[in-house]
Amino acid sequence: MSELWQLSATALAAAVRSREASAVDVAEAHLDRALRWNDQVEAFLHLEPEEVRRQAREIDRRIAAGEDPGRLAGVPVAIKDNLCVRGQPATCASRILEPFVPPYDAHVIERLRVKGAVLFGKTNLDEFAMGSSTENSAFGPTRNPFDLERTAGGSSGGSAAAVAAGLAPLALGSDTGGSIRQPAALCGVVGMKPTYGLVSRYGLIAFASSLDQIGPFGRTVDDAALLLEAVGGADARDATSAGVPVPDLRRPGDVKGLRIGVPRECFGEGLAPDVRALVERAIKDLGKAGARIEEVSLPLSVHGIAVYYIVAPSEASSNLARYDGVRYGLRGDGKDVEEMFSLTRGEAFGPEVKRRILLGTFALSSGYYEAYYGRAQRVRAAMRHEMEECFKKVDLLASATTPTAAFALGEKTDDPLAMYLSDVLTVTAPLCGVPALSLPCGRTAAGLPVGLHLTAPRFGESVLFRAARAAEQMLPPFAWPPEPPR
Amino acid sequence: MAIDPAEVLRIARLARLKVEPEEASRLAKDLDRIVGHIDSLRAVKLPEGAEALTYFGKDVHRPDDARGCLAKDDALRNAPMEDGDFFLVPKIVDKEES
Repeated sequence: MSELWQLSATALAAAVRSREASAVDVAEAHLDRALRWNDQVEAFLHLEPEEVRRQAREIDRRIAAGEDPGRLAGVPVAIKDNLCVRGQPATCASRILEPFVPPYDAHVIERLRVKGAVLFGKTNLDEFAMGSSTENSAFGPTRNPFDLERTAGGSSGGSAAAVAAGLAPLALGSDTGGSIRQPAALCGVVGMKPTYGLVSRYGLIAFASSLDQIGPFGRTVDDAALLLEAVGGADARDATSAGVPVPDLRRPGDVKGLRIGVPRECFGEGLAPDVRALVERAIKDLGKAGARIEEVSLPLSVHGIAVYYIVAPSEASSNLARYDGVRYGLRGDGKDVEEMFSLTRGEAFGPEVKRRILLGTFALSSGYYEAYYGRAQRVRAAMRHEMEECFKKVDLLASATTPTAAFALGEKTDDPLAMYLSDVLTVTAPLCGVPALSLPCGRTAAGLPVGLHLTAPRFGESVLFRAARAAEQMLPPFAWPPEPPR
Repeated sequence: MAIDPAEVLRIARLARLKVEPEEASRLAKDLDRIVGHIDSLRAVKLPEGAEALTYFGKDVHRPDDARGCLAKDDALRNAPMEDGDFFLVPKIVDKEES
């Protein structure tokens, strides 16, 4: 019999609802593991065992009273620390928000409570979700459970590592340029970025508003689908909410007759040979299962990183203007209000956040706006058009999620551009507003996980999960990382 | 477009972000490389009259009616300095000007 922490979220909810296991037992199994592992992995910035137990007891009480707490009954869900949970810190891994305790719940948190989930701590990230390794966290990096000297990826590295190590069966992250899918790939779990507008961002601390989207992590495609179904759907408090419900994600895995496009541009130089081999084999397997595999071309996608590193920092420079020491967070000294703003921000933001604020301010400043932001948004519109045209010919796109498996901590910290380029395969989906999912497709010779990346048209979540489920059935099953030294 | 430390300090002033002089030279080097990469967009051929992407969704309006919002105590709770009714900040207007 598996330990409770080894069970899928789907199995845990079933066990709790049928009273085979109590929510308290489920919570204790994960707390025991999280408290033991977190020193090594540093997945959580904040975890309050008593608060976890309190929620679990409440679920058990409701079940004992004959109520059904919901489809996530008693399932622990780890929460990226840029999402607001009433009464718990939300630091965004930044000094500037270290004292901040949100007075309200994000939309996705309200949904999780309604579905009976147990909110299980706040996970580490790159400061304000800016980064690809969690090394930009003001509180130290998350480590990859498969190799503690390597990155868990980022920015949602804490959420990915927590799920991979069995500290929580599910986690929420946010994805702006790849921040869910890249760490999912590097930690060997499933991570998914929904269509722009499918999940309300009310209560997500904003980074780049035309790109940010909240999405699920799980160890199986079913689990990721379960979490997306719980948190997605319309919300009037987010003006970018598309107002549509999450489509049916429960269709059985099947790729027969699906046309899967393989973009030539995703298989250029820079793709590590071991990653390429595993991804090509996975795509071939999809072909054997009845999908029609064809090469396609997205010539503009090669400009994704350039477009992204204008659009995202520009929006960030505007969004982060709110951290001025007035309404929340830290405040620096200063003899007048202007000096106070400047010192607060200069002292409390980390180097990468400063770099991006400056880059964005530059791209939006008088005389440069048209040449940079305006140009980038025109190329972006053309990229989106190119993607839409491509989806007239194929149902899905397949590629690698990342050009390499997990890189060593410290390897790219002195070279921001090299770090940016690790997002090269994931930025296109958010720039075009389309959904994309990463699922594990094997391990390198060194035992490091590799991700297969599937992209669908806008609101194509149903076909995306159907194909992912089919791929999962053919690929090696999730394998646990080595146990931590005691 | 080359970015030098003086340009970094000009942008930092716009962003109300204190940057020390030694930090400015390192940032100038980083930003110059990044801008060098993103300058590649100038060479991208776009169709005549290509429009910029402004928004994915539809225009969203809601009825102009009063709705609940954060209670005053909740709104003030995280403030570095407040007096129970207002956020407090250092002086903004000089005496001579007022």
